[in-house]
Amino acid sequence: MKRWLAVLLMLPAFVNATERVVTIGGDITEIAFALGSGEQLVARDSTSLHPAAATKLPDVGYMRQLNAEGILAMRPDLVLVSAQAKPSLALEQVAASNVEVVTVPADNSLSGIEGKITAVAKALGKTTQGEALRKEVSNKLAAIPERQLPVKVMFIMSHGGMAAMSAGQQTAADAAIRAAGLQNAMQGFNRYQPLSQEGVIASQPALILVTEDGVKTLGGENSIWALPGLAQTPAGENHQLLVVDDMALLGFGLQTPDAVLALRKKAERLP
Amino acid sequence: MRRPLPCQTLWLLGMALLILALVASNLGAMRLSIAVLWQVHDEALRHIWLNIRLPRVLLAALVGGALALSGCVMQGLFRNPLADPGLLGISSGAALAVGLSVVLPLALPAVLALYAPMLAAFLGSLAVTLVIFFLSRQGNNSLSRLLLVGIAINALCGAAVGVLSWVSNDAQLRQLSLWGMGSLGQAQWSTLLATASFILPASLGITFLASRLNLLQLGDEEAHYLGVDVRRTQRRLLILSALLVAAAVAVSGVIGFIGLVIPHLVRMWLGADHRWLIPGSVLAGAMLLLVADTLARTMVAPAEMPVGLLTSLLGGPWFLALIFRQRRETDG
Repeated sequence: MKRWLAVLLMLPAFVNATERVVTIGGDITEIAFALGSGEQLVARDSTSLHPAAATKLPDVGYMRQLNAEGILAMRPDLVLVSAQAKPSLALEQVAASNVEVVTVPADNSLSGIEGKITAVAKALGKTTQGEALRKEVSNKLAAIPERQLPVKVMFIMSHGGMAAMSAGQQTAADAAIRAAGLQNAMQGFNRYQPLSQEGVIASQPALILVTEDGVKTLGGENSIWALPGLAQTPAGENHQLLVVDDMALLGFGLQTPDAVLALRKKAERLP
Repeated sequence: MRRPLPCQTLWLLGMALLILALVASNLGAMRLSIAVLWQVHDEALRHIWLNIRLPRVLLAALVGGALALSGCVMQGLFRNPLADPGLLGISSGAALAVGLSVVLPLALPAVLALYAPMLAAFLGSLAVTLVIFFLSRQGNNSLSRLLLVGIAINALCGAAVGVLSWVSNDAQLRQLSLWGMGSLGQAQWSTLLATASFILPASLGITFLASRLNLLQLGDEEAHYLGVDVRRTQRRLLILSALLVAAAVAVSGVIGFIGLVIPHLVRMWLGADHRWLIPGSVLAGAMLLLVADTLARTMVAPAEMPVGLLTSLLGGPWFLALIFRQRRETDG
């Protein structure tokens, strides 16, 4: 009886003799799938929504509120975790249970993407695939024109229950706008701040960026132009709006180069 | 009015807590029961059960008991059924200190950095406790003044936390709001022992003062004529319960509801005698937080919910039902 129980418990370990991996961070999960390691993944965090196959994996919770037992319950050999993940105590406990924990850098810049790929590929032992993927991303980045374009872009964030806010400096949106060689219309403040009518008019954006969720919570495209002050801006007069996938543009993962390029193209086509 | 013998009820509560603790230590994201541990000699499994799950179960019981006890003492001390551990501003002091440590990260050595929010919460609540202590030493009528001071501290710290969350970035803001929901995720043997070394002595001290707390219910003057040193007893009770809150908040963040409601529930059941009310509240508080935390760990496994949300969600409807039932009984 005892022996059977032991064998039964060992079973998962035999089936996936190679490695059982948990990825924490949407960008990391995406890279792991792109490297062809999707089979090895046994769980992900709640920010990992891309590719669709990832959402079928068990969810160990929000990446800033991890719990050790939930991760260990997936019996991983390797946990790939974004540097933004919290609390560090939970990760310490995972590491103390003889599970390898690898931290992947998480900076909001286009050049950071290649670093993420290299780190993930190294941890998964897929350095050749990693190098190929890094080159691919690097080529995409090279396709983004470096020449600065004097187009002012305003990013609007809107989640249910909160006033619409615009992105100032030190935000992922600001980094994405600058990466496209454009200007963030909102200068002079950090983080996200509520829209003020005069501030919006004074900033004169030519293009409005909004996420798919944002359009939904605001109640469709038309209600965006009804936001305070927007009608009196060039973007409002010409109804220049770009709806983006927030994980693609702001996640600084594999989809980001394409999303940034799309933003740049849109800005170049502005009247 | 005839009630069941308090002594028997306490034994019953104690047994129930023990059974709950056993059940809770069998449940978790990991399929890992004591029976399996016994039969399979797997060091890794044993490590997880012993170092992650067991301290957490014990910490839940410890913190739950401490919060209920401090609520019980506050209600007795202020002779006010609305008093709760948050009343004196101790948890807001802790919240402010945590906010400061999150938004203005100091360069701490690695060992300390891991425990930074915990240390900050403890220092913050200790600072407020000290303020309360010095205020309680001076002036007449100090209890009612303390209530006002508590309200002021709450408002002040609340506003300061508001300012901090306004200047914080996304990650910091999320960390702050998650702390405010309470979690026992910091459970480890080291934190458990540190917390217990404050909570256990303070609880013992309060137990010794139980009969004097009873006399205080008659009013200060009567208690004085019955031989109680009113000021000193009040001060001791105040500091001891402040210590309880400080230790609990430091390790678990803000967990509401238990301190306010558990003493009421136990009073409905065991009567107002603090000699029974105090141990009863400790046991019942421990049980409620244990149940809530076990649910928090298992309901969305392998993810986890903030336990502070669950205590109110679980306890609120139950408490309302009790109040309405009691009213029907007294009405006819």
